[in-house]
Amino acid sequence: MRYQTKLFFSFLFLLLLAPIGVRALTIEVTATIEITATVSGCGDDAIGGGEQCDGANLGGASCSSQGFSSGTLSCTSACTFDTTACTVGGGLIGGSGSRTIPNTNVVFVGKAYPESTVFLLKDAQEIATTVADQEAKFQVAISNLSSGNYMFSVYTKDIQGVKSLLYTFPVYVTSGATTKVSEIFIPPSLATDKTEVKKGDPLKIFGQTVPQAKVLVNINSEEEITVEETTDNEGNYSFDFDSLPLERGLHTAKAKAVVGEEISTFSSLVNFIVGTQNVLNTLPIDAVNKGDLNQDKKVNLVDFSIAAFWYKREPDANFLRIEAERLNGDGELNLADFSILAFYWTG
Amino acid sequence: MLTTSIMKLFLKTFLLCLIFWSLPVLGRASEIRLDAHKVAVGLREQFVVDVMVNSADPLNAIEGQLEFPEAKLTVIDIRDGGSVINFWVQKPGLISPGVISFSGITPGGFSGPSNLLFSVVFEAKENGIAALILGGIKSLRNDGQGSELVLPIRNTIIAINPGDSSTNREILVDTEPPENFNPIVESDPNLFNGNYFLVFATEDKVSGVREYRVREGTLDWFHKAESPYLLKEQSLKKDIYIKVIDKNGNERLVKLNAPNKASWLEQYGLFATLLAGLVLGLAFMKNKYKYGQNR
Repeated sequence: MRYQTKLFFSFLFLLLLAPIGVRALTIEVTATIEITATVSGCGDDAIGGGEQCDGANLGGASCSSQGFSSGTLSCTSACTFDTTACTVGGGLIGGSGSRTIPNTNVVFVGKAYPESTVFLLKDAQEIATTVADQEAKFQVAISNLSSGNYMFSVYTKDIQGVKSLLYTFPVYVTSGATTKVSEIFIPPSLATDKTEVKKGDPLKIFGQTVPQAKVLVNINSEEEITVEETTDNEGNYSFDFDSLPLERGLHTAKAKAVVGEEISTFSSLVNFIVGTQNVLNTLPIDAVNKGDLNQDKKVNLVDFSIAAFWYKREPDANFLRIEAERLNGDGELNLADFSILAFYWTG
Repeated sequence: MLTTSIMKLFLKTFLLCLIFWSLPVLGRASEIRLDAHKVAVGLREQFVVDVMVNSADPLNAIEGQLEFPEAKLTVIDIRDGGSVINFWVQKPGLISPGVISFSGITPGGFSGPSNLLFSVVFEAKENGIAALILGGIKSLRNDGQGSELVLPIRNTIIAINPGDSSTNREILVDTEPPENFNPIVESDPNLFNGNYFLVFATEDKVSGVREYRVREGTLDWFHKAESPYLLKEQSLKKDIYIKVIDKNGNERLVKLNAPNKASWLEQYGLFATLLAGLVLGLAFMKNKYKYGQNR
């Protein structure tokens, strides 16, 4: 047999064995990956799908490209732009006579709680986060949007992890312009130390908002009772409410904050019972419960998808338990359950 | 003669009253209504009807049906671009002849005047009066309990006059792709027996989203998909591509990196070996041909 013929058959043999060899190698490699696999996505310094940035990789973006006049842009751990070190002022018109053509940007300016993380949602999906300063002021910007109507939402969590109400507002975004949304005032957080208070005993009511703000807490009774408190330098308020004037039964409380001319909307309602015993609020204060169908402490598209899957279907025993615990408990998936999910939404 | 004149006057008055009743009443705090862009059309003319909500109280969920005489009207398009609804439980669509059903939510709620739910493009196909009616409306407050707020309903009517007006089309110009979005891979015991699935949702601000397509890996084809989508590749070693297409054909492609990325050898090892074999085989054949010629 000639040398070339030998060579050909050798390669043909190798070729036929190649899949087996590769499969054997694959098994080894697979095992290694399971131990040392690097999860691609946020944190790998590469800007992937749905990420604005990753680590030091800002993809060429800057404060200017985000609608601010100057400052240093950085990246959050959620791979969204952190614009806290960017500053607004001076607009987007260049000072040397040259006009900068702006992107389609939206800048949000408002008040949250001191040093709290503010979550910005675009059409109910988280798009950016930022941290409020010591005076509870925040500003965040997003860019490269299409023109049209958007529903933006913001929420925050207080120092104890109590989530604020999701504050939603429609914005029409104009192409090629910077839209500034100011005077956003996230409502105060509100919590009680008991789920049931013995009539006559004090109920501790507390929460957080802007420092040195006036907080009005409304407690529903036969006649609505309003308690006025002032927050400290960290924006906290707390007081003992005498439950004696309240009739026995279920009551609700809600709060709003006033700073100068600005008044926030009301917080979410907090339920408590005036009864014959004291029952402490034992749930972890930051527990996300209602609407959180997959129990990941978020209420988002995943929970919506799970609910949508069971819509107009006969729920199985496991999902019936979840529906009873985390939705309205009427044994079926209907619009009321979706409404609860939408109320507790975190994005 | 007199009778004919009286009849004409009566008909005109009746039509004017109907048109007046169909107009939104200013100052009404909360209502769901149908806003027709035209009050009278010709045969084969197209026109748009918007489903709008005014609400003093924040609402976060709404469902219902829009009924129309299918003998007189044909649905050309249903547009949800720019809708106040973020997630459709049931995207507006025909569920039976003459009935469009819808159901959706807005996390955080919406309030105020003139919130668009969706628009329908109709084409007139028979003379007469076409009454469009909203029914089965259920709107829920953004209060965490799903309590109902009964919205007064304001319907509309369209006069369809004789005469071909087929040149009047409702053409929508949309050159922008749908919005960017963040797909999520998740598993949950309550869905697909705990297997991994993909969830995604976005909006198109002009014409609305027509469809989504999903591809797993580079060698797969795009398949039409709905969220939640059960992943074929449960090892999560392949990149996932989600394409969203709006009603004017504008596309956006989003890539989700494989959560358990396969090694280079796993992805391309077999292909590379086959290629090397092919190259060597060709080289061998070439040498053999040369050798044969030389001999």
